[in-house]
Amino acid sequence: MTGIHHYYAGLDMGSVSVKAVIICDGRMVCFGLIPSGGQYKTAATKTMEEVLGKAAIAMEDLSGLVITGLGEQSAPFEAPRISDISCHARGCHALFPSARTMIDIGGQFTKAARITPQGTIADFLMSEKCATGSGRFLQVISRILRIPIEEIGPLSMQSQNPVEFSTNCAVFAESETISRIAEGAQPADILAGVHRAMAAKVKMLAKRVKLEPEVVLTGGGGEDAGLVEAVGNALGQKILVPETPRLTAAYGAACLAAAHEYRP
Amino acid sequence: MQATQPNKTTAVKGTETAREVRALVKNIYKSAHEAKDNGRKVAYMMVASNYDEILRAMDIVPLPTENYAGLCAAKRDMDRFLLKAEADGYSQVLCSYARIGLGFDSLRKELGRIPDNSPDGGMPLPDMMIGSSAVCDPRFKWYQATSRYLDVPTFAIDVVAPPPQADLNQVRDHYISYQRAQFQGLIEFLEAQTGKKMDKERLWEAIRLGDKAWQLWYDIDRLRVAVPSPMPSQDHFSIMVAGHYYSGTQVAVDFYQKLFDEVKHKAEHKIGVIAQEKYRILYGGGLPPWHTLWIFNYFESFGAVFAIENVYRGFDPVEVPSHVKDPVDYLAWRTFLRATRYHDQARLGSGSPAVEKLLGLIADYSIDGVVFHACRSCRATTIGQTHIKSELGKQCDLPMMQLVSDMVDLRDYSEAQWKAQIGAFMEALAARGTR
Repeated sequence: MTGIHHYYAGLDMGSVSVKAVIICDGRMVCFGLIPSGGQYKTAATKTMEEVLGKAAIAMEDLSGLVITGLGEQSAPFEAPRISDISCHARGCHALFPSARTMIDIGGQFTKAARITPQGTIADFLMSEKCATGSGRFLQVISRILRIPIEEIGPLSMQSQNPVEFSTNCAVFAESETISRIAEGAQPADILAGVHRAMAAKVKMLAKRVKLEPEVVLTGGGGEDAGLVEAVGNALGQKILVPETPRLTAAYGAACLAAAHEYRP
Repeated sequence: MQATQPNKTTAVKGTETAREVRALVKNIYKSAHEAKDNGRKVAYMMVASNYDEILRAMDIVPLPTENYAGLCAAKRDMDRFLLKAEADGYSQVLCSYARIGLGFDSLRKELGRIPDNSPDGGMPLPDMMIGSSAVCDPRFKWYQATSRYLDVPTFAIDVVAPPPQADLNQVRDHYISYQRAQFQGLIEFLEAQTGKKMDKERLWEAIRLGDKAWQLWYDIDRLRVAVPSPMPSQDHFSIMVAGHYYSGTQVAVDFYQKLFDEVKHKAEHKIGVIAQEKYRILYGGGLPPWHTLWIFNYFESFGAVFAIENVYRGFDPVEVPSHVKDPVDYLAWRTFLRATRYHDQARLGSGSPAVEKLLGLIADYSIDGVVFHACRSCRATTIGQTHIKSELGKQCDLPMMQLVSDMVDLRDYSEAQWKAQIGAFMEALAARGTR
């Protein structure tokens, strides 16, 4: 650690991956990302080791740490826990100060929140226990179609005739997808149909929190260009997407650590 | 912050008197078993149907099947009954109270005895079943469906309320007359089952006790406007047992008098539920999560107390005109007046009696935020909840949150999701500053 720079970290214990971000002077210095697997504690430790190594600092050098995400209780560090909705909101606010609505399409849930000009939550909603509308839905379809998840977005945007899904259930969607494949539907059309179904769910949440522009889409879903386009079309809004959407909550957590100097 | 409590479902209470409710609950089923042994009539019944005093006056021991479902959930012993009902063909979207009741009766028929280790000894076979259209449709149809398993007479009473837009002066006589006929029909059914005539003096006495208990309950709730809160919502979900399951008895009156004295003392001496009350929450609607009532204590770990609630409350007191001299007429009038208590206000305001009631509670109880519970299998308290929340949001600027699960079916509950939501909600409250 050199000079008078202060380093702050955010650790996001997501259902799919554990992410850590270190910031200094408000800017991201480095990040780490490791699949959560079944070992949250191990993943958290490894991710923190990775980012601390990249920043060439020790845990003691951090001036603040905030932990967030579904698995926050499993993180083996003494640090304040702040909900991922607040962290996403703060991350969106830091990246796009004009943002007033945040949509996070994560591995387990989709969330929508209206953000105040100060970056706090005005109102929020989470998707139900059901997996539809979450990244899990895309994972299911990706596995059936044997298409790597990162290729879903570009491929879906080639669709000319999106499939209409008659179900809003991720479990039923699996069998429906298989039926559509048997009927000869093209993978691009199936994926575009999935995106539309997810976008419809997102729209429902966004409307209920009384969407206000500008809208930011975060989480793994933000890395799927086809989904971003479908959500934009459904909402009739331009969608802002962070450079690495999956890191938004971890970045927001680091920003909150900096704002409140939560020492680890 | 409180950790996960896999074995404990109940909440730590705020008042001493609320801790006595468990004995009242046990006594419901014990009394029903004893009544059967002594040849007294036992009836499956639905709470808040406005007919409690009739049962008491006819010396019928009430057996509230919905309460039994809640009890099973609190004991986390509901799956065997839910799964049995579903195996019999009942949909998972049917009221889970009804599924537990149907599953219990189905299992009892199959086994030829009360299922082993049923909570509180299980429910004895009733002599009759009395359904009701008050609140929702399953309460009217449930016992008809139960006839698959039990060969006992069933009666379902219609309990009606005009829509908020109705001109009450125009419809009052019709509604009261219809309601009276419904009560009279029930009385005739009970007379046929018991072989004795209704004693109107006994009915008046039960009504007097019922009104007295509910007046005390209302007075207790008015004391709860005090800051800090002297009694939280988790206590309400216990103490309602006296009002809903012992209505028309001295037991309910004595219980509420004792609770009134305790809450009054706490209010006067500023003894709060928690040491540092930062936020006062309104439980805006939806049946309580009987499977996870400790969640109220989880809110308290953030300094938030549920100061008041809008479900399973006693009806606000109403004044039946003095010219009404017949007890059955009185019951019909009282039912009408209770059901239309917020209609005038709604017509002048938002158009919704529920919204008007909530706005009143928010103002009176110094509320900082509102939490709703959407129960997947309870259409009556869940449909319209989003609309109510939205309408409320137009008239007050408070953080609001809707948690989703079910009143008894644990399969619809996600602790991780709830904690994530609660965390965000508390942060939204904190962003507005403490009281």
